Amino acid sequence: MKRKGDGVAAFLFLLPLLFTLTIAFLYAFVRTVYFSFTDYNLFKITEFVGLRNYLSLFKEQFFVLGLIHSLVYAGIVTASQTFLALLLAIVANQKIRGLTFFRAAYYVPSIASSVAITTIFIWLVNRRGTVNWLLELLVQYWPLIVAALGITALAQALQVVWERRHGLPVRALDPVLLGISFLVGSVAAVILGRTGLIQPNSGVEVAIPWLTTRKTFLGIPLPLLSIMMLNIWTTTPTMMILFLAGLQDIPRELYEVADIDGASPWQKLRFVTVPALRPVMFLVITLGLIGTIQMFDQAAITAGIAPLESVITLAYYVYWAVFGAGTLPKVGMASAAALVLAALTLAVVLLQRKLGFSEKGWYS
Amino acid sequence: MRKFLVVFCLIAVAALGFAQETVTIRLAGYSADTPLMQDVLARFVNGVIPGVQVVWEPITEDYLAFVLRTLSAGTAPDILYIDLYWAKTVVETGLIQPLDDFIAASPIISREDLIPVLADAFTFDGKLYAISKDFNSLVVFYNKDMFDAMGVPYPNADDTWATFLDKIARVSNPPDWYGASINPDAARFLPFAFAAGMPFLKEDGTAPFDLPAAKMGADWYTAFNRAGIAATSADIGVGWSGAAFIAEKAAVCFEGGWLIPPIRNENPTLNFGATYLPSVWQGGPRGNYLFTVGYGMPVNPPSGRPDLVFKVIETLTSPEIQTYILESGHAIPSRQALLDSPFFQQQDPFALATKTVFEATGLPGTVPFSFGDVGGGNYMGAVNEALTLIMQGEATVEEAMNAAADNLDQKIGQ
Amino acid sequence: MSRRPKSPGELSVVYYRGRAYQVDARWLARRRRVRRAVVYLTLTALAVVMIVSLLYAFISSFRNDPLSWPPTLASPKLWPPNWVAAWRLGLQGGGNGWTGGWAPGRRLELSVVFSLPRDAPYPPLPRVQLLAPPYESGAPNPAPDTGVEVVFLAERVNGEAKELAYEIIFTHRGSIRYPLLPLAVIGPRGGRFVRATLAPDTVSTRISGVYLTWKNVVPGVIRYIFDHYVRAWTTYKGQGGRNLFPRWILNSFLVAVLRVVLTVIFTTMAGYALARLRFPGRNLLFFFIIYTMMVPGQVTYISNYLVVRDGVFGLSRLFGLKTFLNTFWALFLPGLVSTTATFMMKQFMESIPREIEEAARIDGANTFQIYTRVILPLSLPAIAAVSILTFQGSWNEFFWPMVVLTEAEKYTLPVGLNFFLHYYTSVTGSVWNVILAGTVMSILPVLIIYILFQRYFVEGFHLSGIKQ
Repeated sequence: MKRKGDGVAAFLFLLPLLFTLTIAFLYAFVRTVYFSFTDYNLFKITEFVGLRNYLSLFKEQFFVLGLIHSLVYAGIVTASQTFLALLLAIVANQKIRGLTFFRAAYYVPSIASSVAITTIFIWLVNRRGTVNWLLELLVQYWPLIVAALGITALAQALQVVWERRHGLPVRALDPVLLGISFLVGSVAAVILGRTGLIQPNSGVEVAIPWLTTRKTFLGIPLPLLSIMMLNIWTTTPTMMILFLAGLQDIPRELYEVADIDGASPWQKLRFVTVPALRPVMFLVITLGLIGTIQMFDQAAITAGIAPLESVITLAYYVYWAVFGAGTLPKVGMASAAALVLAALTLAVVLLQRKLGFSEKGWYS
Repeated sequence: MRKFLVVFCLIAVAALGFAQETVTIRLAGYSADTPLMQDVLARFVNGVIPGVQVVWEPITEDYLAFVLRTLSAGTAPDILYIDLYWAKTVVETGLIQPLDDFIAASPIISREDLIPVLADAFTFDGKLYAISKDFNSLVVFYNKDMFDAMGVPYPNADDTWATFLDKIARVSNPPDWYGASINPDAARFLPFAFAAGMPFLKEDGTAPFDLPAAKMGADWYTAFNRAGIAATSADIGVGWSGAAFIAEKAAVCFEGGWLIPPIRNENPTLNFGATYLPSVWQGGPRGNYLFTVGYGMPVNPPSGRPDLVFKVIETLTSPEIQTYILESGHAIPSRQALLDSPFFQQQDPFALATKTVFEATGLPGTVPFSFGDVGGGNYMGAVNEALTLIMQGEATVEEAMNAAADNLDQKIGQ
Repeated sequence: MSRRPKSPGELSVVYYRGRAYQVDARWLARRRRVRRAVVYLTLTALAVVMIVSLLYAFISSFRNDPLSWPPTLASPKLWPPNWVAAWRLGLQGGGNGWTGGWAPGRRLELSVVFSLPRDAPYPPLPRVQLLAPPYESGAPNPAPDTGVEVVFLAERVNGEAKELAYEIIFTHRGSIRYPLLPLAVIGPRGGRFVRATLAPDTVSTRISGVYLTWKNVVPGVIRYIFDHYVRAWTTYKGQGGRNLFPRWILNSFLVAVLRVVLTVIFTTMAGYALARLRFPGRNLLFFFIIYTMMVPGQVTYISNYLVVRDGVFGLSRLFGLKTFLNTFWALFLPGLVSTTATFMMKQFMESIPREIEEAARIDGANTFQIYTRVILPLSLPAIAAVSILTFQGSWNEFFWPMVVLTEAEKYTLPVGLNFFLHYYTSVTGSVWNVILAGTVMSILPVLIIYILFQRYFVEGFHLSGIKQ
């Protein structure tokens, strides 16, 4: 299908793209490599310093912290959002009317700028903010919540026994019955609370400084953990929509056959759902990894509020070493760190290609 | 048509001639100075110095980052603020113009006119890089009503660490107000540590925070919060300890002259006074920081007229303008000649507080707020972290200060 | 789990763990309804979490203290009786019930009632402080031109307390119209605030007395309700007294529009070449594009920064500039031709049937004509999607503008909003209502576009690889 002149035409059509790619990527990349071997600081004459930047990089507290944070952040956020999204998608896997509406609602945090969303988030997690207030309510009403859960369990047991007595096939955690049980439990707890039979805890005060602290939880700085919550909150629904689309493509017959073959719900998930979702799963995981390992915006926005040691990431280090450190720009160090970031990204891309999801597999 | 062309050409020539005569000079400073600087420029510079039009550019972002970026791009303004805190970093770029030759040639200003400590602070390798525009140091601000209400004598110049702590304990009346608003802030703590005898670095060039003097200072500085007689500004729900003072939530705070304009604007009838930071023991040493910002000029300022740029700097730091700034209560001037200003004889609390700040800088033990090669971020970061841990009860003074010393040693070692 | 029964009441067979059960079809139908309810509840709960937090932020932008504890939705600004008071005071002070103001020759009366224990001695008259307007508003201070007089009006015994009413009379003695008249009234020590002509913005008990503040006592209705929005909008006069916030919106808008135009032109060209034309190195180029889609801006920004700083190899001299830094043009360099958008275009154009193109070629059209007359018209859906996504991406871009813009007047919205956040949380103390108002205003344009063109967003996600 080769025609004469295609090459020339293609070159002309591609000229702007090639210009950008050459200057802003190729040239930039080569220069980053070059700078990483120098002690350039935007001002003085550049000197070649060999591998010194790379060696001191791994002794630099902020770089090491940034690298660890980026990896931990990517791992935890990707795992949690994938798991949560899958869970929610399985719960919601039905012929749904009005999906467009829900999808529209779920995308809203994704279309607003990260600065706007993070700003609102910073406000919500203030020491005297709404998140702490909700937690305080949770602690206060803990006795009632325990009561509600207990009654739910009781109601569920009664219902399951009753249905099975009538020869109906229900499992212990049948979602339909669970819904009813939960309703019963909640109503009963409200009545118990209103009549004063169960008193909420009083005098509790929750004032967790989510951002303005150096405290850690399970070794993860609390501010970074807050940013993780933010990211999981904003992306899980989007990922859920992806899973839902994947789930609805699975032929119903597969499940029916599995039922006839005597598969338990767990086996159905393990042998029918998950294999059928593999392509979507990998899409969700790669998108998640790529998006999280490069986390910059939230770190940059919260850096003035939270201690830098608690929120710095690899991508933010690359910026900070040049413009934020309060010293002459450390361009060499920043470049070396930038290459580490590029290598991590490349690793994710290669991993995804190696696993067979090339652009043919998951793009089209 | 020809007539029109002639007129047009005449106008064009006139316009060009005019354009050549007036040099536009850009002056970039902290955005918080905007009202004052616009006022000062309109009164004393534009239209007064012939052939010069100074344009004020308020900078809202991190000023050091702004300076480094614009210097690197060659777009730096003609006149820069140079904060003593990071002056060395900026001078090291080699793109800041030493002012000695201009001063030597100037009939108006000589180095002797400048307060020596301020001139020395901006001198690197024997060259003067900036002329101080004003300066500040820390004092104790106190709310007279609160001390009266609790029957406690006001803090005064004779207070020692012990008597001061005792007064704060007695004046504290939470939840209505705390005895003091104290933050884990190195810039407030270090003067006390220096007073207790902590050197900036040990003789071998390592961090001094594990010395007994440093621990003694940290123990005293954090005692207020640990005893519940002081609260951090975050605990009180405001942005800085001065705001807690203005909102009458703290009886005392350690602030500089910058607290005076906000009091005037936000709580003008506040019944307050100011005194020196307490001394370690009766008649013993005191510490303090000298904060200052100067005007500097890049090498080859973009207007192309360094002489005119210097003329503007000279005018802005002249006794006339400095008196005006002083009397408007904004800042404390940097000229020797102003020490006897009649403003200091006034008896209203604002003038008295200004005077106290001014005198405090002259006391022995006051050191410039600068960190040399160590880097202010490194030095203060280590201290802030230790103070936070102690105040939150997560570490003892001993543990936290030793950790701070290790932390800084690591950073210096690199 | 089951097959739909043919009519209610019939028995149908379901399999569970390999065993067949005969169940009543009505039971099944009931189950299905409950299950559907559970699904909708889950979806709705999730939607609530996503949207309500934004809505809550919006409502809180009207609160005097968005950090008040416990959180509440109630705000005096949304309470209609206060609107009437705001209207009357605006009319009195500035002759304008909508936007208020403090005009020359005007006289303003504000009555305030405090209560004290019945047996307390009579306190001195309340003190009035004329405060300076927030400095970032750029409004002049009305204090020098304003006369204040406080008179005792009446006393009323109410149970164990006595209520003391005072009238505060302000007179404008100067000749300038002021937009704001902020003030504080300090009532008797140990007393309580009862009511005032206009509800104060803050009430606190201080050592100096009951401390009431009004950010503006001559607001007018609009200025009263939308005070925080007006404050956000008028924050910081830049050079020539222009407000920063509208400038940021304008900057963002211009950048986004120009970006959309450039992106559409360049990416359709590149997309067409990649989809339809054969040339050496095509696959390599394609892999490179995929990789650059993934590489974050931080990897390449140092060189790009320097390229822009040095005027893109001297190109800036054509514009008479030494450098592109801190200019509008700097924003275009790294993303001049978005690789993601190119990729989307290529994907879409590959789906256009080749036959149409071949037919045009037989009719004698050359490659360029095919591109303009055949491919472009057929690609309109993709162009729409790319435009919308580019607009949104540009509107929200944070990193690169932050690197190249150094002057507040040149900022785009996200950088400006970040400045806003830091300014209003550190420099002035926490003024969250103004921050939230700014945030809402920054989200609004892109939200409206989203609601109008939702279809294209979905299409865009589809093309960029996120399957629906």
